Amino acid sequence: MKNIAIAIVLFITIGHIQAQGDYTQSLQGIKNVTIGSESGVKIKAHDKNELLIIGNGRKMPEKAKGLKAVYAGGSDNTGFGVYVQKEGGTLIVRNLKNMHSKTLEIFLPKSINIKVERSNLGSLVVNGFSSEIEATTNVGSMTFRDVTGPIVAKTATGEINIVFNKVSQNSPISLISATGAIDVSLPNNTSANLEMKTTMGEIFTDFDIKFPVPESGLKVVGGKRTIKTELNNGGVEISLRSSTGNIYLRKQ
Amino acid sequence: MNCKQIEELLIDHLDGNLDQKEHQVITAHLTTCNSCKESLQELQLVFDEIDNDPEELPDASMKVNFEEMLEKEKGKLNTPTVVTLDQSSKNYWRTALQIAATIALVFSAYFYGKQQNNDSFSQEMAVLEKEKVQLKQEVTISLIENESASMRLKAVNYAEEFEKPGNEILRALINKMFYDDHISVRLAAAEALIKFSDLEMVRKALIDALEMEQDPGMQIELIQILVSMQEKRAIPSMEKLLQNEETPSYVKDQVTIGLPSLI
Repeated sequence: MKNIAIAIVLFITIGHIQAQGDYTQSLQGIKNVTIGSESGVKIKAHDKNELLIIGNGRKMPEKAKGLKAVYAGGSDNTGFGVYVQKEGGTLIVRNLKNMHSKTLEIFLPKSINIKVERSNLGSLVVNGFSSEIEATTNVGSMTFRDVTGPIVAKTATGEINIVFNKVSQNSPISLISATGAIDVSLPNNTSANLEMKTTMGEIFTDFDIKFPVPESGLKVVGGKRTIKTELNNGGVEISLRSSTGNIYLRKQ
Repeated sequence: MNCKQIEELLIDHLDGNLDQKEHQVITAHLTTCNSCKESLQELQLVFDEIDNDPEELPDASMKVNFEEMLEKEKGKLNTPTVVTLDQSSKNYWRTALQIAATIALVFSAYFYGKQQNNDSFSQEMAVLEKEKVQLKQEVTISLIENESASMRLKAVNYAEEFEKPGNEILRALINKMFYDDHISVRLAAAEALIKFSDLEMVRKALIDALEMEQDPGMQIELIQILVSMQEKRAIPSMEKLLQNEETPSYVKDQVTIGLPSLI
C-alpha cells in the first residue's frame, strides 16, 4: 500500500513536471541553431548558454494517461512535441506539432546564429539577437525586434517587419518578400549600401536618397525599379525587395 | 637612310670618298634635313680649320744637336712663371670640365636609378595586384560555399567586383543562381551575372535558370534580366510561364510587359 502510494506520488510529480516545467538543453560547443516548425515560432534572447523551451500550458488530454504522443515528423525526445538533436556545432530543433498548434516559444543566448527553415503558415517573431539570422517562411509574417543582423530573410506572402538597434557591418542583409510589404527601421547613423527594389509596389522612406546621375546609353527596362544609394558614406550591403508589396524604410 | 647613318657618312662625303649613289642620297637628304645640313657645315668648318693650319715644318733648331735642344728645354723649365701660368690656365678648364662631368654623372645616375626604381616598383605593384586578385578569387570560391547565407551573399558581391572573372568564379556564380537554398543568394548571383552577360556561357545559364526556377520573385528578376539583354532564346520559357496555370498573375504581368520588346 505504501509503495503504491509512493509510486503514485512520483508518477504525479513527474507528470506535473512534464506538463508544467520547461525543457532546457545546454549549448556548450554549439554555434548554430536550426529551427523547423510548421506553426509559429517565437524566439527570444536570454543570458544563459542554453536552449529553453517553455512548456507552459501543455496539458495531456485526460484519456492520454499512460500513453505517449507520437508525431509523423519524428520522435519526440523532449516530451514537448519537439525533437532536439545535436549535430556537430549545430543544434536542430524541430517542432513536431502541426501548423495549427500553438506558437513554439524558445529562448536562446543572444549571440547564437539562428536559422529558421521552411516554416509554413506560422509567423516568426525574433527578439534581441546580435547574431546572424536566416529565415524562410511561406505564408507567415516575420517580425524582428532589437536585432543587429546579418539577416537573410525570405517570405512568399508574409510581411517582414524589422527594427534594428544597430546594423552589423559583417556581412550583407537581404530581405525578400514576394507579395508582402517590407518595413525596416534603421538607426539614423547607419552606414550602408542600400538597394531597394519593388516591381509593382512603392517605396517610402525618410532617409535621404542620393540619386546617381544617370549614365547616358543606359538601357531602359520596363518595370525595373531599383533604388541604389549610400547611407552615411556607404557600408554593409542592405537589400530590400518585394515583387508586389511596398517597402517602408524608417529612421529610428 | 636616317639622319644618324647620314651623319656617319658626312665625313666621307666631304672627302669625296663616296660612290655616286650614296652621294646622291646624301645630297638629296641634305636639301630636306636642316640638322644634317648644320652638321655638315660644322664638319666643313672643322675640315677648313685643319686645312688652314700651317703645316709645321721641322725648324732650324732640329739641326742643332741634341745637347743644345736639351739645354733649351732645361732653359724653358727654368722659366717657371711662364710654365705655371700656362699650366694653371689649362688646369682651370680641366677642373671645371671634371666638375661638370661629375655633376652630370651624379645627375644621370640619380635619374637612371629613379627610373629603374620606378620600373621595379610598378612591377612589384603589378605582381601584388595579381596576387590580390588571385587571393580574392580563392576567398570568393571558398566563401561561396559557406553555410551562412549572408556569407554567401558577401562572396557573390565579391565575385561581381572582378573585371574579368575566371571560369571557376563564373561557374560558382551560375551554380549559386541555379541551386542555392536561399533565394537571396540566387537573386544576387543572377544580378552579379548581368555584368558578364556578354559571355555566351552566362547568357545560356540565365535562360536555363528561367526554365528551372520555381520562385516567383526570382522568375520576375530573370525575366527582367533576359529582356534587358534582348535574349530572344528566352521567349519559349516565357511563353511557357504564361501558359502555366500555377504561375502567379504578377509574374505573368511581367512576361506580358517584357515579351513585346523581345519579339
